[in-house]
Amino acid sequence: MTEAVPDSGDEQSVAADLVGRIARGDAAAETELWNRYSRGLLFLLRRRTGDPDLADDLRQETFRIALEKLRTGGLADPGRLAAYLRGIAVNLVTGDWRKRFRRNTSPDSDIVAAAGDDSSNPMDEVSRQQIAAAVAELLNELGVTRDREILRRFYVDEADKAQICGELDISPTHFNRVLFRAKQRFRTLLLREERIGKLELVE
Amino acid sequence: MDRNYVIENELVDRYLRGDLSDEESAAFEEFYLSDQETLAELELADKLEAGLKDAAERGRLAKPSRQDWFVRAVTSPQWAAAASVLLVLSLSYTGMLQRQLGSTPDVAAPQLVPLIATRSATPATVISNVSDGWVVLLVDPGFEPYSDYRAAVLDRDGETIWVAGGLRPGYEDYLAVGVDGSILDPGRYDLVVHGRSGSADFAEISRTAFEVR
Repeated sequence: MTEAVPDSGDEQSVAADLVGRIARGDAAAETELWNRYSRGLLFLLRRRTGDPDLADDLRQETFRIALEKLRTGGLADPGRLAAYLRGIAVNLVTGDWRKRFRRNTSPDSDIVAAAGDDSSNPMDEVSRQQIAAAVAELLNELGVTRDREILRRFYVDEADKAQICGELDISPTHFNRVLFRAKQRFRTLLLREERIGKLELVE
Repeated sequence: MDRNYVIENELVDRYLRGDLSDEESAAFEEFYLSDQETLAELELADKLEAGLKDAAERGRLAKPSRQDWFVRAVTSPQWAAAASVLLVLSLSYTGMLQRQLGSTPDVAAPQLVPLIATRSATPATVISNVSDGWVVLLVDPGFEPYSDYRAAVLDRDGETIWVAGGLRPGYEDYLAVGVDGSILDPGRYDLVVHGRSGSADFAEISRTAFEVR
């Protein structure tokens, strides 16, 4: 179900079209709904829950609830479909935390279980290794110590941009360029690691 | 909200750090749910942050040592800017001139112009009042480090009117290309940068348009 999302027009008109077609029973439109929003919803849910498995469950539930409503044509503002989906997802996260908090406080509670080891998912572990390899290569390639320092202070120490620029005596433009170039290079290195990973799987 | 707003307000990094208000965060989340480009950028930045934190935990991202003070001193903006301009002026006088200079111009302080690359065909950088002195075009040489850079200015017909070689990144890692302003008639130009490593051939790195008025 993870097909490429076509870039077809502005969000409001695409959303309204999808809503209309789903209400008319168009099954292909339901697939397009998933393709268009599922990746973004998963990212949002992962950030809010910190739990990849829970995020995936809540994503499924979000779509189930949304489709139930959309099939009956009940969306007041079809152009605001993204806001509607986001609202469902956020409410599910809030509802889930309340349920877990109320359940019990024993050491063996589901909260402890849910907050367990993130690396239990083998695909996440592979991804972590690929990221680590790409970052290691990126740091090796950074010839300027100051650039490594910028990345370290911004991403690891979480210092803010103005503070970093002041302490390292660099302009905000230069700061932006260092980050932009690092991200571009990281993207290339990560794609390479992912390709290597896929080749190893095939072999 | 649109992609330009996201870029101009640095929403990706600010969102990941929790620096957006609840309202901004909600609006941004609604936007990226359907904007694949922004979502890809978010995922990448998230992974980079996670990777760097992991590297720091494993001791692979050490803080700089005290000995780095010397490196910092000679790469400080003031030192680097002065060195870059001197290097540019000295190299540019040995560059190839396609037009005869009428008389030696009064060399006023050079005009420093950072060139901005855009995706559209319209040059983002416009330079005025160039006839009186030197223009130093500052351009980002990109991430790949090369041992040697050269740059050429092409007019709108694609003819090379200026070449500078032996360039090295200087002030804030820019390449500084000095051009005699008197050869820049009003019009559109391209600055083409080539780089090479060792004895390999030069390869084009970037081509940035600018306009003179």
